[in-house]
Amino acid sequence: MKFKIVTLLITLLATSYGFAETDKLKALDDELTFFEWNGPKAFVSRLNEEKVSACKFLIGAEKRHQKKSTAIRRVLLSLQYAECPGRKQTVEKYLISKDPLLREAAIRLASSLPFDQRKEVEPRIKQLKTTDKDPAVVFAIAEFFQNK
Amino acid sequence: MNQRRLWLLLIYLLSAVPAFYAGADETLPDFNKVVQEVGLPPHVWCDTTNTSLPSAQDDQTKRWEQAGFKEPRIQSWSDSDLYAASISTSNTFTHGIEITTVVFRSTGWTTQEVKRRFQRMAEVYSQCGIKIQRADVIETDAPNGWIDVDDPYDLGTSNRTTQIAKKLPTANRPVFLFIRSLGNGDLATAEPPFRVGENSPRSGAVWMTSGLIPAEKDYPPNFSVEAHELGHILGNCSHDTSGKKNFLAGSFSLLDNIIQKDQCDVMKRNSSVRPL
Repeated sequence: MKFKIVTLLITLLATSYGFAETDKLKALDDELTFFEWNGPKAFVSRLNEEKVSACKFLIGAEKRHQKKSTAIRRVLLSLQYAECPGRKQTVEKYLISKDPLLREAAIRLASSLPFDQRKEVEPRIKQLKTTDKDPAVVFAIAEFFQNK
Repeated sequence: MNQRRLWLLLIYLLSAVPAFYAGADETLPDFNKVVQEVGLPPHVWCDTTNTSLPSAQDDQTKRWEQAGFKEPRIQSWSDSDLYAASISTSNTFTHGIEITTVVFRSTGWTTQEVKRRFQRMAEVYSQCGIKIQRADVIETDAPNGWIDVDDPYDLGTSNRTTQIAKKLPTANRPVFLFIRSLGNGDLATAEPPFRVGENSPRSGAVWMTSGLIPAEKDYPPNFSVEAHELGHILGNCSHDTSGKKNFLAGSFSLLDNIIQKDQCDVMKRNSSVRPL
């Protein structure tokens, strides 16, 4: 009997902890689509404060919000401040996006890559330099090459 | 001028001036009648369609051009443009406000879309008795092509938001600026004095990005982002933390178009809100 009560209590505790965790993650996820946002640096700091794995959360969010360009842009900008695996591939994926603001965010993310990876994506950005006329992309490319 | 012409001018003046002062209206024939008899259209001498004279609108256009805002098209929306007739004439309004709005071209915004959104904002503020009395709308090219501006949390002077706000040839606030994007990924932001400093040119500015248009389908139905942002300016405050549903909440679960009474009272005390 005692054993059953202890098991029940542990289950209840685990469930409530699970709910609290879900609520926390839901609130963080909502921030990616809320119209006001304090910016990527503040967001990554908040993930760390909340003891949420920034990489796990951001990579998951990139998959969850595939059709929401606002959320994707925020994920790309946040990845600048979280050294997550696969960032180079993310850069490559969004450099060819139809949305100019996602291309711009990808270039900004490229600037934060380690030197060797940065070198690997550089030719693609050079190529964009000659073809992309969007003002945000042009500006981001100029900054990318300035920060060499 | 030869001597004969001078004599003729003198004779004319001697005869015309006394007739004028003696009440020429009664003695001289009606000018329009004379013109009609001669076969000329009446009032041809005072054509009011003459556009060569500078108007207040021209002056305003010039000011915007000189400040670096190319090809400004200026219009003014009155309360009758923003409210249904029954609301516009209603006497439930106790306060009024005027708003300046800059819509940059090539951002995805149109003045028609902005007008529709302002009508929604006006409706939200009517529950408070605050009337949007007028909105001056300037549709223009962004200075230096800056349809995308920097992180609004950067208060530096080189920040594009600061530079654009500095260039505005009007001190009127609140001012809405419709742009394409904000550098930090924000979709809309207000810059109340408490955040940017009372003397900052950005104080009282609201930045609205066109990223809002596709994103809004996930927001509470009919929610007015403009009303929310204006609330930050008029209340000089951040998000509401009362836990009640209202227009200034900081999360989707509490966001609504409801303005709480205490929020109305605070906004009515703002210097840009005037009693009617």
